[in-house]
Amino acid sequence: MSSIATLLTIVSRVLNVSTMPVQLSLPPFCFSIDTANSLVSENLRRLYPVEAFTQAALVDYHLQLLPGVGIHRFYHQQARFLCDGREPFTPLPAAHGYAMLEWGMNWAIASQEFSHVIVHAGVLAFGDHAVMFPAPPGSGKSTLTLWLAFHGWRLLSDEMGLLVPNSLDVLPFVRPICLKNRSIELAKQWLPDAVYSTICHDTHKGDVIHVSPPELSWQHKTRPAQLRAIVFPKYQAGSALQITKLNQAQAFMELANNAFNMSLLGQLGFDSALLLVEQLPVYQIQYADLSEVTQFLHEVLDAI
Amino acid sequence: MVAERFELKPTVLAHEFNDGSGLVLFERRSGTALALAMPLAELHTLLQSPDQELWLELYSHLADYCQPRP
Repeated sequence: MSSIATLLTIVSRVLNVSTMPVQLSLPPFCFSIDTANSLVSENLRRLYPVEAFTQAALVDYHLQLLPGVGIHRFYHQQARFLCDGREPFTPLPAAHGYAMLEWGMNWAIASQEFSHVIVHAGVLAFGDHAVMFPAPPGSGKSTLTLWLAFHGWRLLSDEMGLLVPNSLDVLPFVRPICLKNRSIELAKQWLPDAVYSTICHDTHKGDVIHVSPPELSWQHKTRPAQLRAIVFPKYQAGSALQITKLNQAQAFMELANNAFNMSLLGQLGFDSALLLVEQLPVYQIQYADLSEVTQFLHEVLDAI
Repeated sequence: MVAERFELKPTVLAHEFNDGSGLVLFERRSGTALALAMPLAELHTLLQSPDQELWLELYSHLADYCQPRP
């Protein structure tokens, strides 16, 4: 590094301002991320593979994680998230910066991406046969996603299923898996060698951590899969596995409830959801034992 | 199609599921949807019934979405 670059880096750290954004290629999108928050930069470098950092791709979303203004630049330091110059959230403590960036990326896609039907769901594939797990927060979706991703399944998404309209095709959007509260301890017991972010304590969702998915998922980050089933999961401590097959009307309603942009897509979103529920088996499951769920999912795929 | 019995608003989409589980109506602008998860045979019977109470019960579900034909 030249002496000028070194000087700029030192100045930027002292003043808490950025010098040069990084570009993060996360197919099918590319983000430019501009931050001087060292905790954020460290977590990005830790959780994303080196290949994801690129200067070559066209940028879809320009993100900034800026320091607070006024007194909050120095005292009770804050992080402010901006997407293409707009600031959709109120500032958070600077220590929550990395979680804020990941949530901000979710927000950018969910609110501005209209070429796919987006469902709040984990999506995992065994080979190229995918199962989508739509669920509201608190259902255990991400814990289930983590378990499967580290037990032979390929992660396509932890947070949002990107569906090609009027088809069964689903695109990967591989990013770290977000865990909350008690799931953090569980994950560290199951997977002591996995790569974790620093913990963001006391966010509005409680304690939050991000986990980098296994190499298999990163390697296939551009490889689509075809949906074979939809499963609405609900974790219930101590519960034996309960499986309920939904009829199409019920499945449609559940899917619509978990879709981010179905109504905005109008007829295209409506028709796409109809195609899914008329062509795929749809289940609701209540579970406590993840190995029981894994066995059930293999039975579902084997039966097709 | 059951939906053909109704004069739907331009923004309302309707579909009868092929497993006979019911009818879904979807209002595009607000994104709200109403699914009647009843067997279609039952729904057909209901729609053809001269029983005003049954008709009104169904209509109360659909009133926000469509206007029934006589």
